[in-house]
Amino acid sequence: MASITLKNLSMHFDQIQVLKNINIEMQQGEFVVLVGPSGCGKSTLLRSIAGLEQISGGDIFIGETRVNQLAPKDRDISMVFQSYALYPHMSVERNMGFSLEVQKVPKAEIKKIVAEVAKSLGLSQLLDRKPKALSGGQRQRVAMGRAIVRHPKAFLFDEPLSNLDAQLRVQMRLEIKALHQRLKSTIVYVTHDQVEAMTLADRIVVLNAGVVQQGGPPLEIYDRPANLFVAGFMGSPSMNFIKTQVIIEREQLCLQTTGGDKLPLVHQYQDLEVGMQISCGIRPEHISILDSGFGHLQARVSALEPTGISEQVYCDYQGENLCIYSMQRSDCRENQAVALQLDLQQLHLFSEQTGLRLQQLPAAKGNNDADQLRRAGSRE
Amino acid sequence: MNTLAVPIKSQQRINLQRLLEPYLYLSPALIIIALIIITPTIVGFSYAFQSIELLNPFNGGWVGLAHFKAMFSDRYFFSALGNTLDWTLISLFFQFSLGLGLALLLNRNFFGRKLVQALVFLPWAVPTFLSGLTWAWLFNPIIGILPHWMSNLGMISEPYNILSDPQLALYGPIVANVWFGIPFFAITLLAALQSVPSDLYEAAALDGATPWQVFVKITLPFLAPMIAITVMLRTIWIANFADLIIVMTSGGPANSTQTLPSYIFTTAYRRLDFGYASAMAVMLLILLLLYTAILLKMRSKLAQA
Repeated sequence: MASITLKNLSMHFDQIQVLKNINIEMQQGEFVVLVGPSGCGKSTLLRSIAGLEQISGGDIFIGETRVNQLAPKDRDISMVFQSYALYPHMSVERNMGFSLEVQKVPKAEIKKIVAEVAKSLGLSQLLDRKPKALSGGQRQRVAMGRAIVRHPKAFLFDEPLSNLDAQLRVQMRLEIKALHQRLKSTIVYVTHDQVEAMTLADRIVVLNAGVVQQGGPPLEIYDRPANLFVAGFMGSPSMNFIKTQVIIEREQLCLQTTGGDKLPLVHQYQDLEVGMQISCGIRPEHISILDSGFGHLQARVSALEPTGISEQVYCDYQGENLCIYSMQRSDCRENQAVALQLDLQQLHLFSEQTGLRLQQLPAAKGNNDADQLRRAGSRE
Repeated sequence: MNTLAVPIKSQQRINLQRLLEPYLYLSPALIIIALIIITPTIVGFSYAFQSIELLNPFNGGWVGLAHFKAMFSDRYFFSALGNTLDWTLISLFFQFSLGLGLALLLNRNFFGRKLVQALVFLPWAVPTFLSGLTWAWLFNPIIGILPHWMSNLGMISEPYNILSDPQLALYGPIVANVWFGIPFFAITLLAALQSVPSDLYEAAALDGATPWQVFVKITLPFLAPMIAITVMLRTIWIANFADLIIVMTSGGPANSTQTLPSYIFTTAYRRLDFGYASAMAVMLLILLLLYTAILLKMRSKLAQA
């Protein structure tokens, strides 16, 4: 196992810049998930670590070794492809043992190692089959087995679960996680599915348009997204954004919506100025529908999505679509006017101008928050 | 009773109609196939058992297996059979290996690849009579360059026309045939190469395989079905292919370059002995059928393995 370090990595095809100044340090044994929308360069980044793509600038280190000029076969890493890339003319056993076969490891030894790995993945019964006689989940496991067999310095996963159905995906996700805990291996995992990213990662790196947007532990990314892109991309259903302006109302900093509603700020924020245009983000689980009273915003229900375990209510507020997520079932109907209560503790403020998050300052006094809350509550 | 019997009868008629109907729709194709393929084949077969000599028109009639008996004591028939074997195997070997090499080269990215691809396929488009004539000239020391090169390389003692040397003459048409047949293998194998998923090569590269291992363990198995079918087709075509030999040597000197098809052609159209020619053609057909059966058997064995 080894660490992987990317320094000022950049790449362009012809005139198009695909990756810009990527700096990531992956610790030994860390599970890093690269996540982003399709076309953001995450697969390209993974393939350049593998050596399947030529980088245009910067350095890649695996352990202490600079591997820029090394061929894929000399980098000692293994990769699980989205298509699995199993050799169709070889049995499962030969597929898994192929890396050892080409290294001329004695046949008996290959057989032993493959049998061991196959057992750990539940493939022992399938060793004689050809890939085409396997189900999607089994192929996926063979592809992982092939990667494990030779104890590489790191594993690269390129959207490995995207060809599986929803149930199998959940199951394989757990298996990959268990695998990581067992092998304690360095894993770089690419996905566009932010649920996979949240559940698997020790650390998430969010990419967009070839630029690292934010890197950090999953919950930190979820709780403190660094910019509008990360805020909108991570989380499902995704964060709501309301266009507001900073004003002072009764000696209290407030966000005023275009409809004139006011949201008092309960925290202190860095670089916050009166008159500033703010995109106010709030997660769907932090809005609730009031049974009575006025709440913070008055909106109209546009659609309901009950999933059984929860309910998503879509509301139209001043032409903006707000999603409300609740574990309780509401008795709303479409076109009904509702009062929405926002959890003001959970507002995310982003500058409209730069798209960046306004950092929350630590509270000056212990009871300051409570004070502000009481004042905010008195409006109702 | 009558009222019961009528429906049963009409039921039978409907069944018969339903059975015959598809053949009615197929009949144009069936009639054409019967007219242009089956009839000539049967007529050709029947010639093999008759005496049909245009120079001896009143000596016709059925002769049974006389032609086949004559064949086994015909020394030219056996030398033609041996030549056919040489001609086919040597041509096939070089056409295939050079064609595969060319396909591998053309499967890489390089500047001007499209143009080179188009040029490679050119020999296939040149009429065989034209290429036969051109090669015959190339082997002629008075106007051609090849004898001079060969003598400079020490392959022959002095620049003479190998087409007039009974020992070497067959190699003239073989060289022309190799040149002519490479594009076929290049085209078909290139198509097969392009159907190999690129991520298999990437997976193999990450698994640590050397280029040679990738070729042997990934590329060749993928090409195997295509190789089997093209080699089979090509063998039959080459074995049946007399144009180049007729144009370049006419089977000479002294029948030394006669292959079965060219010998059949000469027998039929020079000596005007259609009966004997047909008998040899039937023999060639049987040999090729045997070869094809063996190859198909091998192929299905390979596919199972």
